[in-house]
Amino acid sequence: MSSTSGPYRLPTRPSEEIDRTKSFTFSWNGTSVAAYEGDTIVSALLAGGHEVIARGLKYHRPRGVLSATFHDPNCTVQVGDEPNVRAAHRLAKSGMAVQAQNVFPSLKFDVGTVNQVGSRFLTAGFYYKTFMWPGPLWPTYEKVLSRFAPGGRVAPNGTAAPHDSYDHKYAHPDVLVAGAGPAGISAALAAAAAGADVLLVEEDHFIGGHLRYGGDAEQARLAELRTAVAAETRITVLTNSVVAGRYDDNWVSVVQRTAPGVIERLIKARVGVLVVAPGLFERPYVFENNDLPGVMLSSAARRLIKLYGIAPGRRAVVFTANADGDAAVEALRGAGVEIAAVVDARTGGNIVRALGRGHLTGVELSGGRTVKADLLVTAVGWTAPTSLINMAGARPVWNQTAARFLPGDDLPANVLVAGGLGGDGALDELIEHAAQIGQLAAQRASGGAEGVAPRLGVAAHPALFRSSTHGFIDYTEDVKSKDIFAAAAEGYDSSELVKRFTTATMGPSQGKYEVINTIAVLGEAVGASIGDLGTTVWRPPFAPISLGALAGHHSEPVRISPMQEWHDAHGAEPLIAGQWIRPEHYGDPTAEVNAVRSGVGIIDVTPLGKLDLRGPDVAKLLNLVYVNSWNKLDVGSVRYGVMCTEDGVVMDDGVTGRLGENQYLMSTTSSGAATVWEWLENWLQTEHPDWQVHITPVTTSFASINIAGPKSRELMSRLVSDVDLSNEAFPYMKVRQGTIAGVANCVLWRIGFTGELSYEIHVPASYGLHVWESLLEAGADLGVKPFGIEAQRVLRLEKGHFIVAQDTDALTKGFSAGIDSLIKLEKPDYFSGKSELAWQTTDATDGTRVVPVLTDDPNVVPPEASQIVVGTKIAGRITSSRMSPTLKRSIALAQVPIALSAHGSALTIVLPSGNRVSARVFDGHAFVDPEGERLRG
Amino acid sequence: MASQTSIARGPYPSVGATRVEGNWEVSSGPTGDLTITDLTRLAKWTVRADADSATAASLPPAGTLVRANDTLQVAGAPGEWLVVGAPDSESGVEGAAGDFVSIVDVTHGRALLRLTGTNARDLLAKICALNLSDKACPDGTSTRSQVGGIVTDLARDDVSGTLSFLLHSERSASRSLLTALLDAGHEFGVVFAGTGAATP
Repeated sequence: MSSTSGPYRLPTRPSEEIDRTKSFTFSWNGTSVAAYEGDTIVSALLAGGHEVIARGLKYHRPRGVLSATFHDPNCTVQVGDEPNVRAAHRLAKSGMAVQAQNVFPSLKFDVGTVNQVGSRFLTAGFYYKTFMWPGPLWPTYEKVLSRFAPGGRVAPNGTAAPHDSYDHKYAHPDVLVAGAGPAGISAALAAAAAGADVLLVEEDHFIGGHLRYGGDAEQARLAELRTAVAAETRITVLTNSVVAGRYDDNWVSVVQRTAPGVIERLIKARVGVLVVAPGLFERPYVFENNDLPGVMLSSAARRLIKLYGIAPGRRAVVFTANADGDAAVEALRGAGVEIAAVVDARTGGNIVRALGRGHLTGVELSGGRTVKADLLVTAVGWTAPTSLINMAGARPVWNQTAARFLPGDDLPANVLVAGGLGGDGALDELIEHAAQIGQLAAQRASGGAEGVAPRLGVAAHPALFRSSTHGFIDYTEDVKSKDIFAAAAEGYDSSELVKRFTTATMGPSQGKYEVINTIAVLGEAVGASIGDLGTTVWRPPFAPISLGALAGHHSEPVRISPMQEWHDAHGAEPLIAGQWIRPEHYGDPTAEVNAVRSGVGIIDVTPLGKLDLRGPDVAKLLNLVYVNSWNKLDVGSVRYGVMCTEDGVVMDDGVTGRLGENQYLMSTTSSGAATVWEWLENWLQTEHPDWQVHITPVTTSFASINIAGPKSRELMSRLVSDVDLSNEAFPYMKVRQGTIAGVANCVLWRIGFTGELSYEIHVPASYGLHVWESLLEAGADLGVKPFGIEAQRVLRLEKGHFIVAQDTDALTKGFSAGIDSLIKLEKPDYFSGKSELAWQTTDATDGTRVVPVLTDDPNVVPPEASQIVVGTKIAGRITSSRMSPTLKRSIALAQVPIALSAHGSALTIVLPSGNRVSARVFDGHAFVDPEGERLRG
Repeated sequence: MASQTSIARGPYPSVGATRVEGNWEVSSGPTGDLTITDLTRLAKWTVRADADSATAASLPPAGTLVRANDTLQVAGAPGEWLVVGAPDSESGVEGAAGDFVSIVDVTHGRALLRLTGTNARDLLAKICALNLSDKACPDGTSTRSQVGGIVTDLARDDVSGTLSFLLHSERSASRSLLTALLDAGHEFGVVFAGTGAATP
């Protein structure tokens, strides 16, 4: 035998998928291992004679290769800081640091093997029974048990090595074929030939399925199929990818591990027709010591020989019940492995137990003969991976002749089955059948005739599950066949109950190698057939998906005003408000408040919702959605309004200006813009489609700036050329359109949330930065300052204005918000909330009120959400509170019961410290300028 | 400091040195096989009319786009159109007599990007759930979806036979849209080439 890169490496083979011109090394538990490009971690380890790859979960028995596939239950390792890597699938890379996981202190000597001594106490249900009592000790149990948790180690936060990212992608193939064995390829080719766009998904690194490790004829057929696929432009091939789930309406998730720069990509595919062609999983045989390194499936032996040029052993016993076992014998002979015995189950042969400690040394056959061997290959049958058809709602049916589950007649029309999952046949038959399935899939995907899916026949196969001895059923969970008997003895007599009690099939391989043996042994224990017991239900995902792939590339859109870069450049503290990024302050919010009260300040209020309303029936709409009246709003005027939901709860507020006979501009709260738009459209489209109103959201058509302070008129007059800004010509609550800083088509509102003389201007957004900078330049000698949201909050609180959703909540009805004078129940037509608000007036003691509050100690600012109590009962809460720079004392708004809302009512506020402070309901509405002289000046 | 003359600025960062064309600040950089250009300076109007009206009959049906009167008319939804024209131009849309029609200038409130290149569809497949294949979305198709989590009107408007999409979104979120496009297009070598043509 050649030992080019290890003692078990064979001479070059025509079918191999390694490149012997490219060699490198990586480390395995600190020792250097040679590999060729194309080697998996496991194939390279086996080439070097590293037979033991891992240890069992519970008993820590040494484990070697079982299937040599992604799903091999014995080949999970740590690579760098990445845990739980499937080493029989992951390709080795130069410099890779690979370590065994779940071992201490080493793979060779693992103290966990002591569990084998107490194995009779560690049977199924051990945890449930042992750690139930005494209850107070559970935290201690938990700490100890967590040390025995299987799996690798993730890097502590912030210490992970730099790595590529994860992302998502959408796809809409007409046909998706899951599995690129000969049947899957044939189905894909036929579907593409019929005009379908096809996504062909293969879990392995190459397409071809079992043909890859077949004989010469199969290799030749594979070459033909690969050539045909390469020539078909309608087929997109994804290798090293897996169909993880199938959901309603053929929403199919695919995990792709080959996208450039991406560790894993989750493809969300909306598929016309899904063709399920995963092939079959070779099933292990249950017998004593069936987990010894050196015991493997026939397909594993063939894969190692044919794909990687690895001799899986020196002297082999082959236990075969089918042609694949026979093929393994030939492959082993071809690889120079001595065949010590071929035990043929079809002629009554059987094996009893594997012999050896730590690795296989021999096999005891039925009849008592013992054969020396370092390799035992089993070929006892197949498990049909019905996962995807399970997810489509189908319930597979046990076929005793074939000794496996087969699809029933309950597949939905948009799911078809091809290949071994559907039945048996010679290679040509399987390929021809799959071609018919592919053609049908294309027809169905295009909405063509339904057609009837052709079915394959089945071939007889011995039903072999367990020998006369007990062995492992679930390698990843360390569940033995005797555990199933024990569970059955305790009354767990159904497959679903046994699964949960013993955890068989619940490990990382999710039943692919375990489920049939579990049910078969349970059947033995309870005297039932597999068909009677039925299989457990496979749910997504078919193969594990990393959390990174599920999360994808995190993207959270934000909204910014045209002036945001200026704010950033001038020290603004960003405030995240919904999707908006806004300046909270520029370093000193108190100074900003003072600037507004004494001079002039400007604030970016672009996020204010703005809706352009046009049509002859706008006034009707306004009357419907606002609680106040809108019949007499003249052109050039603006009015404040409050909207209530139909149950009378305050939902939004703002001002609306009439710009023309049939044109209005409505403002909403910043967070309420989309909600109000939908609210208005809902009324128009469902209740009043006859009204002629068009609504256009224009929130970001305008950059909005509020210029506030006693010097605001003077500042504005320096930039506004075509609007008379005098109080007589442009008084409070009026709107004008004009030119600001040379920018035409601006809207100017004379309103003020701050309580100061102020103008809210709405400038075509592309000119927002120009006007903002012009205001600052023109007002430099006036001391103009930008101010942020925090200063605005203080200014409005000093004025006693509430903020919807801060001072109100989802239960605050109109009268509770203190807008009594605004609510016009006498409006003749219905308006939203009218009935509830009318009802609210019938009981003057019910509900709460938003009231201004002053603490008796002016230096105490009770934090927002502080409780207001009566005795020991919560009666209300502080909704807004600040230290007023203008008044030099604490001010607040609060929600209190109506009984406590009268002016002068004494309140008790509980601070977070638990201390109580006394306060009173303020006698008035506004703390500053209660007469409103400043804003009307 | 503010400039002496009023300057309009789009929502995207400049690419290299800026200059003024008309009253718009523009900049441009090299293009690539997959290129994003900023068409925000183009004049834009939303047109609303009853879907069964005579006015609607003079405009493209929902889900399509046409070029007419030196403008691009995109029908994003029944009874709703986006009309795009050269800067400072007119929409050219006339409401039919008796129809209730509104035409609102949204030039400054909406951003417009053009994504051009053979891989444009592959890029969008990473951040948009729609089927944009030739079968489902041939040249001349318009639709509405989310792109990178942002509500976006998409219009397939190929350029000289090369796959091209117009992406129309609200201005405030458009910087995030560009970021999402550049991020998704990294593997395809996408480039942002700054200001695009002054005609639709």
